[in-house]
Amino acid sequence: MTVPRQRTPVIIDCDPGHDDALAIALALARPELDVLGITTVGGNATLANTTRNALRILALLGRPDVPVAAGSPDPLVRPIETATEVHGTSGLDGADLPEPVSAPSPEGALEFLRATLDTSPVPVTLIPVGPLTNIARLLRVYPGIASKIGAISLMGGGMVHGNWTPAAEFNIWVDPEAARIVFRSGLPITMHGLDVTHKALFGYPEIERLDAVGTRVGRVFADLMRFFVKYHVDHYGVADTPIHDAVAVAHVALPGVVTTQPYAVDVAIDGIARGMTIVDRRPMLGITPNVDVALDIDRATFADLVVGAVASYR
Amino acid sequence: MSAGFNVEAWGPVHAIPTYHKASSGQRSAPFGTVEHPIPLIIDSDPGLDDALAIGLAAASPEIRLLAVTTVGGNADVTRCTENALRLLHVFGRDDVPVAEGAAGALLGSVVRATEVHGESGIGSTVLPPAPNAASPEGAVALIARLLEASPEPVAIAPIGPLSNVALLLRLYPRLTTKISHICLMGGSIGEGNTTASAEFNIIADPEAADVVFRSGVPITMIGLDVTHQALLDRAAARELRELGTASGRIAAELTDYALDRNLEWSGAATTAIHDAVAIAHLLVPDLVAVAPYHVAVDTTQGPARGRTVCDGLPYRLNRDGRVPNADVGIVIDRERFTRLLVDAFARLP
Repeated sequence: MTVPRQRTPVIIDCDPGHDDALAIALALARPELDVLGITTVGGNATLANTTRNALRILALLGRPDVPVAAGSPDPLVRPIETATEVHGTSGLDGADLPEPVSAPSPEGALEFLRATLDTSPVPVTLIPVGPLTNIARLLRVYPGIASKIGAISLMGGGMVHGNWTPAAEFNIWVDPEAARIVFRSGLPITMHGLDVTHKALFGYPEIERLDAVGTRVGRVFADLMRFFVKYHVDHYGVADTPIHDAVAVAHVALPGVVTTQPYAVDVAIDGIARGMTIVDRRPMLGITPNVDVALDIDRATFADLVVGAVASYR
Repeated sequence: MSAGFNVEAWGPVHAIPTYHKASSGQRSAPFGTVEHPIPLIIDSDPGLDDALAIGLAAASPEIRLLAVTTVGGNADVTRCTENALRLLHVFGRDDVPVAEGAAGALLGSVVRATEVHGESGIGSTVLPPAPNAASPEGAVALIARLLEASPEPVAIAPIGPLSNVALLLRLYPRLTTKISHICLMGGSIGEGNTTASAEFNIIADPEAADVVFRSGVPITMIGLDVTHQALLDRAAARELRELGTASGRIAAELTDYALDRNLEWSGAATTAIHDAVAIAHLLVPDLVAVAPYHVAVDTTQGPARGRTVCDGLPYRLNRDGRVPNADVGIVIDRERFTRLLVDAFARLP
């Protein structure tokens, strides 16, 4: 893979989160990406915890220079629902992470996003891997800034199935109204839903590889994954655990590693299917697609990418 | 389960993530035998595949067909009623009463599938007139009367929108104990067909479907997940035609009409005989593999309206305080299904 002449500027919007942590590690390790900042949102855990977790990950990775801005504690319309049963009360249980060595930007995510997009000479790719609250807020508060968003590579949704509910994937479930705003925005969107993330799996063999890296970073990520995998064993009876959020990063860093298809996608915001991403794949209707839906990734390629990223930190 | 099942092939419409599969379970639906035929009422909107379903029931000694009631769906209810009468006449079953039911959904909307089934509901086929007329009492009253009079509980196979069945459950709640099972065609675990998320029979009357799935009556949901495996092709149509009977010729014509539509729309060389699967499940104990799910219906006006949201994951059901309320069809042996249909039509005039 050749390094492009110009690195792709990206902002990661996240709610770390075990898989978010790997997404951040992957993004900061890839020479193709220029990470302009990390914005946080309430989701997997409370905003206070997800922000603190982002700072702890950056401390671990030796990258406290990366700006962090805290975004919305609550979804656009609804009260927050966290996934502490998946990620622990801290949002990042299971490993001995360092304390933060940097502080979040005082301006907050909304202003950070606006200013960063505004001053960027080229359009910026947003990588939202939590609830879409911050992105929807940005689009509604500063509609003019949309022209500075080059693309959105998001983790969320699923073609037919959810995980948090039978219909809804967690990120969309937490803020379906925000998701609808983003999906209907007309911006170029790639949706990395459960269809692809359930092919980006870490099980015990991948944890062994993280252990074998032999560094503190390797050990911390191995511990994080042991915690994450245990949840999946206990609740679903399978050790193979999707590393959802890192897929959205992999797609931007290495175009082509994720296979996509253009489809029409909308979001259910109420009722029993609330938070469901409805993907219309019926070919005979000639419906205009609004989203590239990610369908496939090679497990071994993905594991090499992520383990390689973890191993790149000294 | 007998040989021929391939549970790994489950998910023909869309690959279901591994841990979302419920374990294949024991069927709860009763089934008929020649010695003890199952008493059955078919509620239908014929309909190409409905016609084959009615023919299958009419020809099978394992079923005691008490009535065919009609509902607006694939075509206008008056067309559906006329089709039911004429089909039963062709099949030599003028003894089976027909009664007309709801023209549209509980809340008044009228959804049709004439682009699939033709304006008449049965493609371009012209059936000879029937000597009988529909029973004047109407579908819901006829079903109620038959349930009341039956010494044993009766199975209902709703293979159209669920408007009549919902009205029955609401108007005659005391008769629910006289229903042994509702084996319905509708819904899907995976994608829909009328919309991306909803199957036709459910989106035609989501509120009625909601009433049925909440009723507590034992239900088998024969949805698109399994019916998209119950396929006939040109060879099967030829076999039906070569039976040399009126019933065989009509079944072949209807199948060919459906095959033509499918070819035109999607290039597929097969057609799903959705409704006949619901009848087949009541005839053959081990043809359809089922799994227990909690099924809830989206009754919003949003993009998932009419979707059957199916949950089979024990952890999540426990968290949400839900228990399975339906067996959902997941796999069928296509070859056995084809044989069952052709053999049944071989017994018809």
